[in-house]
Amino acid sequence: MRLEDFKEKVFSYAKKKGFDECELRFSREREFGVVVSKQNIDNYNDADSLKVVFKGLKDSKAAFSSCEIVDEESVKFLVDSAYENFLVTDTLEEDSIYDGSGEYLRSLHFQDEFEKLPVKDKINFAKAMEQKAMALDKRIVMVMMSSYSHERYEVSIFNTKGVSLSESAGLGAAFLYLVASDGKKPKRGFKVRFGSRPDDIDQEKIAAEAVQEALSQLGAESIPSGKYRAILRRDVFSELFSAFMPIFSAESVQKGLSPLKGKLNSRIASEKLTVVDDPFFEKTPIKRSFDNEGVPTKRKSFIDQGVLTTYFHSLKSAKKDGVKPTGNVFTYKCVPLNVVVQPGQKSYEDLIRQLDRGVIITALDGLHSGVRTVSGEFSLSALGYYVENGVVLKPVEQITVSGNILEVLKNIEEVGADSDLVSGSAYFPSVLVENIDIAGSGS
Amino acid sequence: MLESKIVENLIGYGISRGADFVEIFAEDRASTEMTMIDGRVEVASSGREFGIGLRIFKGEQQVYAYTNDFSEKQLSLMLDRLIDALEIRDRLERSINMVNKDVKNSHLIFFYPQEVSKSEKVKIMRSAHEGAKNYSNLISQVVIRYWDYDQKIFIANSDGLITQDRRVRTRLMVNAVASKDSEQESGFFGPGAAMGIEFFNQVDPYDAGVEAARIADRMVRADYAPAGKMPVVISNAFGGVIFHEACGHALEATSVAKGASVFAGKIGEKIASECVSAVDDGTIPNAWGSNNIDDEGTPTQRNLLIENGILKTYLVDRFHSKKMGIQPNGCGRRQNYKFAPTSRMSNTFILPGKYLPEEIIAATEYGLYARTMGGGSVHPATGEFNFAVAEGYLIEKGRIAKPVRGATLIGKGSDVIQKIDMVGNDLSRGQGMCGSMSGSVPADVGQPTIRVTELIVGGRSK
Repeated sequence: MRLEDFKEKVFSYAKKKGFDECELRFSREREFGVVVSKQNIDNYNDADSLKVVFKGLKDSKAAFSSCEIVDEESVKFLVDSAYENFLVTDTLEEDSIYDGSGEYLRSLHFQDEFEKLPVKDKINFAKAMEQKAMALDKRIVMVMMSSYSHERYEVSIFNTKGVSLSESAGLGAAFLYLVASDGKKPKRGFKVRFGSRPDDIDQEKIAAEAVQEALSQLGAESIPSGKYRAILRRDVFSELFSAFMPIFSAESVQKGLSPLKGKLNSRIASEKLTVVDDPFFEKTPIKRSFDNEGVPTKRKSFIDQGVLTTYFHSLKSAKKDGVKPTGNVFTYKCVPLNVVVQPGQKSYEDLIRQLDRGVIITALDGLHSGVRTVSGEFSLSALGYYVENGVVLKPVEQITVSGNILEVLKNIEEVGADSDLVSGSAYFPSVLVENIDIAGSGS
Repeated sequence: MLESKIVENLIGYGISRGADFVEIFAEDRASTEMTMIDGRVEVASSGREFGIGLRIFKGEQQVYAYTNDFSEKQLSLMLDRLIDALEIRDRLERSINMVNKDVKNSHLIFFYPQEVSKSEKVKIMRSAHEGAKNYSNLISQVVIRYWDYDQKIFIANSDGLITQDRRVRTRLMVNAVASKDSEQESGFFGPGAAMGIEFFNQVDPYDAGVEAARIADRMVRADYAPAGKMPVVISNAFGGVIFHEACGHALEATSVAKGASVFAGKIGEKIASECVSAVDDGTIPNAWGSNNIDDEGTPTQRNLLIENGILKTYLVDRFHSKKMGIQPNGCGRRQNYKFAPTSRMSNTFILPGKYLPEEIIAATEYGLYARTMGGGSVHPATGEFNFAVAEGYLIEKGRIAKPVRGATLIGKGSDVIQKIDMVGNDLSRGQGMCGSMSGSVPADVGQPTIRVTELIVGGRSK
């Protein structure tokens, strides 16, 4: 069935069923990925898929359903099951279907140059990257994964209030995950790069950095527990910050699930910190002009010189707070699309000199389990280096870092100038932070 | 789900083009998810997933593709692309005799999710809400999630296997928030099973609410956990996450076959303390991590992984089986048709020992008692693991002295499983979602109360 016909059928059946308004979101995804180890293809994915999400509105209450096939049976399933869901939904908060008001910057179209590359070239990219890494140093004992991948999605939203929007986004990525050994303890090295075009992804650089990361950890030991000054390297700062993204959601705040409740327009971070949600940021590959509710996205700072300037609003939370929706409803509700931290003046090396004595954190583990978004508390496994007299002295393993994200943000002493694309949607510099709790062993 | 003619054509074609092995996996899944916040249903959604995955092996390589398009034309095209990716040039004549293999169902379902009205499910949620909300006046918010699915799977491969199965899962997840002065803490409890709504005859949803609230209420009154190395007594049930992370993942063929695991090449060797015996058992009737057959069509089984500290076997899937010289043992799993299957845990637990849990605490001069655990993760190649303590207490002079706030525990797997020096007799299991290469799958972890002589506790320094 053609999407156009499917849409008409769903809208007409929904009306008949008793919904006041409704909306359909089609998301067509194309994924390709290859993972190589020991020059063999270990994992490979070549995929096309479709997801259709239905939102029906009645008496200002929204109900949902989704399917993956466009046929007569799905028309009935989407509407009937959403109606059953409507019957049990008893929220007191009003939802709505967007009317398309406001300005959409432009409809974005992703030029997918990754797709044009022959499959063989992509497989060879992963194989060559593995070989390069292995050749760099004989202490590299194994590449567990050498990966090349790309994805593209096309999103369309249609509703009975006249919204009809369509655009595409996508990115490519490559990563290396390898092991180095000095014959005593194996150490891991990981490096990932993202880009909008194949040229953005530099194989040599990934290999060199992943190898360097693993080698520099050889001989690592734990350090004594205590309070330390620390540099959170840009990738680590981004991971930690991103793990706490739900605290900026207006829905979480309204439900008493965020420590940012009551903190709008107050200082929550060091004056040196400004963080922007920029859906059109030049350096991040994913760009979007509307969110999953059809609301236009826009560039905005949400932490401005330490002051919390906005929460991220859905249609529902915006209505409750009497504000405008912010265009931030994506896969997980009410999150920024691209997070960009404004860089400072100091280079990474300057930060280490300014640190003088302390630790540099270069990896965190347990981000899905060791953070508590209702309180802002975290306790996470970490790796890094110990610094004395402004010079890296030795690698560090088997430590945890603990604290409260709001304390960390307030204790930022310096923001670096070393911003980089650390994930597909984050452009972060490193930060120097005071008073981080570290648990370890030894003296 | 798929016409047998199409299945035979595809498999025959793949083999004739020179693939060593061709597999078709199709799935039709209906699911329900509802979220209740502060006693009201905020979001209710229903989903239907319908897709097909194709996988081929050649030598030591495997490739995978998936789609929602069930037409023979699309599927042949995908298969061609997979064969091209592997640059297979052989042409083979091999006839395959496809045999339909019936699955013996060991996980009886009384009420399939679609046969139960949503208002019945909401009643379960409401009961859990009441249990949490009424626990104490410190409980400021309760978030309940209800999740069920009914998954029908179809598997066919070039070994001639055609089989089908149906899997039902139901889970209730309670998050309670306690507030005191200006602080907030949360407690979580999320029981689930391979059952329909009859699961709640076994587990009272009200009690599930109480359990989540109890944790939040204790923790909001607690001081920070201490920092540093110390003995840790880990309670039963979800405490088993320590074995899952510290050892289980490193026994999966995914890392063992490459030699990337710290436990590679160690079968028959002593890798753990003598008091440790552990199994992975996907056959336990109606358990959260159980299945009749795995996602490659192999019947699940009870695998004794470690016996009195000696490594007995690994978890082996089809792809890695040849290379390792070990038969697949029913652990090939995947989240859904969007993932190629690989070796994964099902219900994994340490077998009971001889101590009463009280004896273990009494024998501990100073340390941490980890009463309730959160999730964790591991790097199998280095053995570095971590897992979160959701509810902790300080042990002083063999007694539980005071509650302390959750901290992450870290260590290295090969080291830590040798430092387990006491194993209790109170075995039980807890439910979680395990994430890895082939996605997120339901998995039980379990153990009796155990003691580890030292672990690094990620608390705070005074």
